Amino acid sequence: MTNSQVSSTPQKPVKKKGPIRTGVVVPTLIFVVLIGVYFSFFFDMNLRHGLEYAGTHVNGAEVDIGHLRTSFIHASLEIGGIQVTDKEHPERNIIQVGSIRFEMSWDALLRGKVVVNEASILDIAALTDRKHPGRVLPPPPPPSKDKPAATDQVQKAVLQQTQKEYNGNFLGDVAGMLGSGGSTADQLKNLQGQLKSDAKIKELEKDVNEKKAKWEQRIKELPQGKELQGYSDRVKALKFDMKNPGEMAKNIQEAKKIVDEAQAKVKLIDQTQRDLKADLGNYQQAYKDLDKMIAEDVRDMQSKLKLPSIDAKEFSQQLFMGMLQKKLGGLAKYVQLARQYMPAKQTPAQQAEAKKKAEEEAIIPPKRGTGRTYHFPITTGYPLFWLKHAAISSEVTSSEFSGKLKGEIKDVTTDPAALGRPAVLILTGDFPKQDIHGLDARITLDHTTEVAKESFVIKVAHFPTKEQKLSDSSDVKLIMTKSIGTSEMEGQFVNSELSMSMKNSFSDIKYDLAAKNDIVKQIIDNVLKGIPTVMVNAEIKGSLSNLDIHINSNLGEELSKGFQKQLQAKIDEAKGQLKKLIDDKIGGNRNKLKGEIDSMTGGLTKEIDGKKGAADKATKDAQNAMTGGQKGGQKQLEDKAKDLLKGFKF
Amino acid sequence: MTLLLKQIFAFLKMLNSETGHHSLAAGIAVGFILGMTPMLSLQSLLVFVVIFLFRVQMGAAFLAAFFFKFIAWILDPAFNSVGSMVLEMDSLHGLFTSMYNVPLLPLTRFNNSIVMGSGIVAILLSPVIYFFSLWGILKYRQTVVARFKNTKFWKAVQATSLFKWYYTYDKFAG
Repeated sequence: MTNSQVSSTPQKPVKKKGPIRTGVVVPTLIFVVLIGVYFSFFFDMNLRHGLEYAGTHVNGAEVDIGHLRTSFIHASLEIGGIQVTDKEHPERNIIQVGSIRFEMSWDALLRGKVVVNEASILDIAALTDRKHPGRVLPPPPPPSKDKPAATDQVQKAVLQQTQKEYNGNFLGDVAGMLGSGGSTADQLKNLQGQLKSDAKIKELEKDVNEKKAKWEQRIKELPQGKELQGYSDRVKALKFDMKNPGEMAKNIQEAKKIVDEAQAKVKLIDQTQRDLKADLGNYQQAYKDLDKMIAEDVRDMQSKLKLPSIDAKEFSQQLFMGMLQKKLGGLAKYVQLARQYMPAKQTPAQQAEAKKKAEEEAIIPPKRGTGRTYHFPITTGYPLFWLKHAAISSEVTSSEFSGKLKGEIKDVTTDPAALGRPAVLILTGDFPKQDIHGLDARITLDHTTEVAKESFVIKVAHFPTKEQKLSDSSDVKLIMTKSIGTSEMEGQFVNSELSMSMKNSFSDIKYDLAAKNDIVKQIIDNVLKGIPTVMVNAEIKGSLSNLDIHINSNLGEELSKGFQKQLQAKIDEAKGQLKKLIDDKIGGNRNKLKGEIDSMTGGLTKEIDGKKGAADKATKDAQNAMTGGQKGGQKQLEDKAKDLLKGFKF
Repeated sequence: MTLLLKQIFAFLKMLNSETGHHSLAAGIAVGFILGMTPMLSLQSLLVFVVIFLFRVQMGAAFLAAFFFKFIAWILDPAFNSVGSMVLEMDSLHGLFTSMYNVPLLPLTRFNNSIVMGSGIVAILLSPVIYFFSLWGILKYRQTVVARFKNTKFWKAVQATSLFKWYYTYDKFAG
């Protein structure tokens, strides 16, 4: 068969095809219908299972969702019957939520953002019984110890602050002092080698002597008086005669060169003077810091000698710091958490740092489309996530921990700066079964500007307290086993500066008191009987790394008064001995150091100032000589010109 | 992958046939737009819809997109300049602000200089690419294909039973 034969084979008439690929349209339509069927009948079920799986892994114990409904048209999500198993007690839920409903904005979804217009969280109950015990997952591996989470770091920093000022055995020390009959002199002798300020003085003294020798050598190496005078003499020796213009120009150049040399020497002396003054300033500061170190030494020694302060403030501080530090630590942790997920507006410095970091982390091969991205003003834009409003409501149920709550959450967003509105949480209610009444909380997280600000007002009108240990030592045990409390807490964080006030009162108090020393027990007992209501007020100010905490309590005041008579004389005697030891040990060395620093400052400053004066004078002389010479030459030139004009009879 | 290979073979077959030159040229023009535009943007999705919905030769479109991707990578600095120039035009600032605040349009990433530059260049040049491809295909068929079909080698191949079997298979399988 030939090619022509193949070509001549009768062929089917070719149907002319249109521009649309009909063969694809029908399968596409079928695909769309299938997607629609899936989202109508199966998506909710799959999403519910997915959320249960994710929730279980996040919680570490079974999370159940009763029902879940999504609506494509309304962009809404409703989750009901949420039960979160308590890891420690799988037979109960740590929290149960009746229903959560979100209604999102399609306008925002089409921009790739999630904006929840209205949400409701209803029927919240804690510690409810489960129908069947929840599944508990094996515990995850412990987190790396090398880098603790930022929230834990903040909490730790606050606890370190409070721990510094908190002696867990304060009443024990008071009792110990009251019971001791011996002198503290022997104890002091053993402790005197541990003075940090003494070691520092010796170190400074050695350092000052070494530095002094170095500076003397450096000043000696600077240009001497004769050398400096030489510059002026060299310029004066130059002739600026107009009769010989070539030589005059050469001499002017030479004079400029000499003046430049002299100025370079002045600069060297200037630099040396600055360095010396900086060094001397450092030593003066180190000497001033010694006072702080000595005060710290006194505190350390007092603590080692177990010398209690019978100041009312100190009593209050020591008794109630333990109660306060837990609250402060928790507060700092949650503030840090809020700042992590709702970051405040970045300062220019932070923006530059973030940009630098992003550049460092950028993948090296160039990617397509990484040109410059322009940003136009947002007129109807949204942040990545924005919960506009959520209503919280809960009624009392059979659960022991259910409560009648009402509240709302407003404007929770991932970009508060762009939104320009602070997040607000308002909650009021009671937990009758727990005997907690009059809860009224308003928390505002204002991260809309470069300065992150969180403020809170929390009031509880009536609540039963748990056991609170005021002192727990072998000498004295004082525990508030039961009481009825009221609390008002108000404060604000601005950046890392905290300003907070707390007013607490406890009535109907049952105490557990035990003391080895009968006098101590009697004093405390009498004081407690005289105070039906214990007031504890606190004022806290400062940064998280340097908190200034003031705690006032009528219990502290009364205990202080009670112990004062018995203890004052003993404490004064011990403090006197401590002061004497520190004066003897440190006083002489301190004065000697002061003398050395003063002598070094005086001698070296005088020497360098003298050199500076001489250098300035020599430079000025050289400059004057040069200027004078130049002016003389100019005068000669003018005279000559005048003579010439006269010669022409002008 | 099989689908892609099938489309590429179909392209080669159509290129060497006597029909479908418009479909091939349109495929190359659409592939040009796809290749010039950076991926992961709304307009790329739109081009895919066009490829699947309209009768453009898919193999030609994908091969052209693959080829023009490399060209575009070299031309990125030029696209960046064109895009920056357009995006910085004061007269268009109002339009771009409106587009920036309208749903869906920001997903095109029009506010990126390279996306804007490459988009403008691709859309403006696509008719030129279409007509140039059409001319090139016809010219190729007239010169290379026609000449090849007249060679003794091709006539010998056509005479083999293997070719006849393939011809019969192709007629039924399409």
